[in-house]
Amino acid sequence: MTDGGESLRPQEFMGEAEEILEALGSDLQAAEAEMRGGGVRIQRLNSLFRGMHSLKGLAGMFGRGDLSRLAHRLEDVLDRLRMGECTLDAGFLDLLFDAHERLEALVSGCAGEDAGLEELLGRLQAALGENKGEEAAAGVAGASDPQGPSPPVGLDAALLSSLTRFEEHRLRAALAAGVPVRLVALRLPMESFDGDLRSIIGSVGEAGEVISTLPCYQPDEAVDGLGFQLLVAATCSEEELLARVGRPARVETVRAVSDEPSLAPPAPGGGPVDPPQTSRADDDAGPAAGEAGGSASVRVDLERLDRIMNSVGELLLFRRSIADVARRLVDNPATQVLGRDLTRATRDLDKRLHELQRSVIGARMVPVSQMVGRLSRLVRKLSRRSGKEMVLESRGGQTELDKVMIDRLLNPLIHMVRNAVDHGLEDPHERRRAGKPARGRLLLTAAQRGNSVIITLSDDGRGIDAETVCRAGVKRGLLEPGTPASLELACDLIFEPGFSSSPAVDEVSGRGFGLDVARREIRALNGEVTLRTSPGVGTVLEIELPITLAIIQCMLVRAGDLDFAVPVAAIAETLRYRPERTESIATSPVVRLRGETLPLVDLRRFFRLQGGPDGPPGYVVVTRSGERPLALAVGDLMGQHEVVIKPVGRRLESIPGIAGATEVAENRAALVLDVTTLTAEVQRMSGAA
Amino acid sequence: MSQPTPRGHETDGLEILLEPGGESRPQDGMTQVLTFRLAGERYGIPIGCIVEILKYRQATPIPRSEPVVHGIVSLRGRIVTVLDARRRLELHAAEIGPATRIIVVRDADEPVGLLVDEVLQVMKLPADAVKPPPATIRAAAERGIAGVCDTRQDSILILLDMQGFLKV
Repeated sequence: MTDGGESLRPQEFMGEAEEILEALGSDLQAAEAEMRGGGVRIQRLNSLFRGMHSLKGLAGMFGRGDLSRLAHRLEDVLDRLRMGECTLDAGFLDLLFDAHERLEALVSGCAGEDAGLEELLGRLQAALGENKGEEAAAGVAGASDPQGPSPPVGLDAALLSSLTRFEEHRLRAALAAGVPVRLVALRLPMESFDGDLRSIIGSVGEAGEVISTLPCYQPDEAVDGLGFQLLVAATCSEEELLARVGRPARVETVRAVSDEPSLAPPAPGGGPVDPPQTSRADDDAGPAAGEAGGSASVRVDLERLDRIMNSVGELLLFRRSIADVARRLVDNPATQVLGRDLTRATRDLDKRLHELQRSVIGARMVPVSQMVGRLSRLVRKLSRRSGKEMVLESRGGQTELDKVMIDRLLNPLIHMVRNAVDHGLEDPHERRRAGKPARGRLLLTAAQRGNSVIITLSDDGRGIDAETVCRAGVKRGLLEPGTPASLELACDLIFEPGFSSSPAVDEVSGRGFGLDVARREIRALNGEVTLRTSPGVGTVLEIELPITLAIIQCMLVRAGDLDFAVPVAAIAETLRYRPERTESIATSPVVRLRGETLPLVDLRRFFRLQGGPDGPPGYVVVTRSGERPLALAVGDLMGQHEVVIKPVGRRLESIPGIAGATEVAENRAALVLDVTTLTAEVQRMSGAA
Repeated sequence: MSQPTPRGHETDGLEILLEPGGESRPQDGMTQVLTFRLAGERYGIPIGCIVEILKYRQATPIPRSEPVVHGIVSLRGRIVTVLDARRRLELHAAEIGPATRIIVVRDADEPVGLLVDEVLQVMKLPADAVKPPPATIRAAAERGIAGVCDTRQDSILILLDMQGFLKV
């Protein structure tokens, strides 16, 4: 039925592959911007090459044949590009974007038949064939001679042989172009060398190119620290170079042609000795000492974090029972003193637990900007396909959200972007007529507001036309004929399942996947989405999400003999139940509160619960979902608790009013109320009655 | 023909019968099944899909759910839906007793608990001993009944097809 054998863990592959793809994607976009600005930086091509090399290795390790083949071919292509053996033009870049998309599909395992793959491999091969080293027209800044007999270089043979093929190529290119090349030797303290080196490379990189960073031993200096040699090609003066290094260093210039006959031939590997300090691979795909080394972070499996999170949740449960014991001790005069001590100790424990909880939550947080790359590549693609000019801008990308949320938010956002491009943004012609810039603008913003994160996606398109939408609503039977069209109604309608005002299903936003699915997914994350539109000016979709799914403050309430957790965020107030304040309007019970009339629902009756004491409810919990208030009659209030909310599984997740479950005591679960679906269900029921 | 194996040992309320990911495929034409009792009848499921067997613990009922859903329990931090296996087979609802167990099985990507009256034993069955369900069993396929087997001991053994059985 299920095979017991466990192969290499797929989530490890996914996590790492996605990270590499993300970096490749942003490098491609940066390359495109650089191309527009005059020329693609050689560092960019090198970083693309490195990323592709890692991906190839990863794919091979996990036995992903197709992925590995494509990555291998791309690695070849990128290698030739960075070696200046062929040139990168707009068409070639498009091809790389296509290939990137294909890689994404292969990684996520949703690539179709591999017919397309062969075609793509063929196109890459062809691009290499017809594009051979026209250096003059190079899009690459400072590309240089293809391989061939290279003149010797005034560099120590051991050092030269420790350069990678690419670094040597860059060295020769710089010398050939007459750019001064210098060898900078310096020492850095053991404890901070990686950070120091990174900042030096950054600062020197602004003035020129750091071709290589080589660690070396300098036994004559008895000082602590590590010696490094930086091979730098830069047109600036030696003084400026030293100023950029910002610490004592020895600089010597590397000459183009050797005048020392004693030098060994410069072919890589031909050097007489393998310098001990450079135990480097035969190619430079591994992180160079200075660049990627020393990033003080580790990748952690989400499942492990979940386990830690669960343990923290359990600790919080224990805290509760200890606090109970303390209370009982305090209540008894004989043990009062002991009880107070225990209460104090519990408070200290509390503080620590909350710190722990915050750190664990923090470890799950990632910046929203992780999604921006994917979305702007999508926009780029949609722009090409639809012939509409547009750009995606983003603000607040540093805002953090739970990793799980980011992952699950991507699909709804992709759909919303597609929707905006398809229905919102006009074509350039129409835009000019409306007095707008030809290029449409999508703006993605993220900001934290209290315990929520607000993400908005706005476009400066034509907005929603109430008439068109309502007409479509009538046609689909979602609206009674003759209902007056209003913007408010239109905004509700487009979230209805099965609603689409576009007459044809097209490749851009068709496939029967409506905004309703996007909204359902967002609601599954405890979030809510709202829409504002202004005809002719544009549309704003606003998503509000809790920062983390993992822990929420809840009020525990009892209905019948069951406990329910109501998210505090959804509670407006709680009051004692007073029969005199309730009445009924057309048989629907309501409660009046400061001039407002709220629908009243007895939770016990709503859930058709049998157990528990008879008699009137004890309390009323007033909740708000969006602007819609609801008064929930419950038996008793059990106090506020932090609960770890967990999914209830696919069989139960569609029951209205239930968001998930949580552990309230050992092995005992309580249901967490979903105020949004509860409110909707109550309205539906009273509408049906 | 059949070979009873000893019952699993019990550890603090948790009865571990099998190592996780234990042998599930038929060896030399033999299928291993776990047998249990439901309303006096004997049923069997392939052991490959079993995660663990729990002593009955109070489940939280789920309001407004299908009758087949007995409730949810929390299992080491995970919420597990427990189905009433009797209800699934359109028998009377389960009565909880000291022998009642929850068999946790793998279903797609989440574990699901099956409430059974009593867990019996693990048996090896030759593949050809399993016969298609007799026509007298109503709607066998819809209820997840894969076949029957006369083990020449006790009552006839009814084998369940987990995929079909869990399709609720």
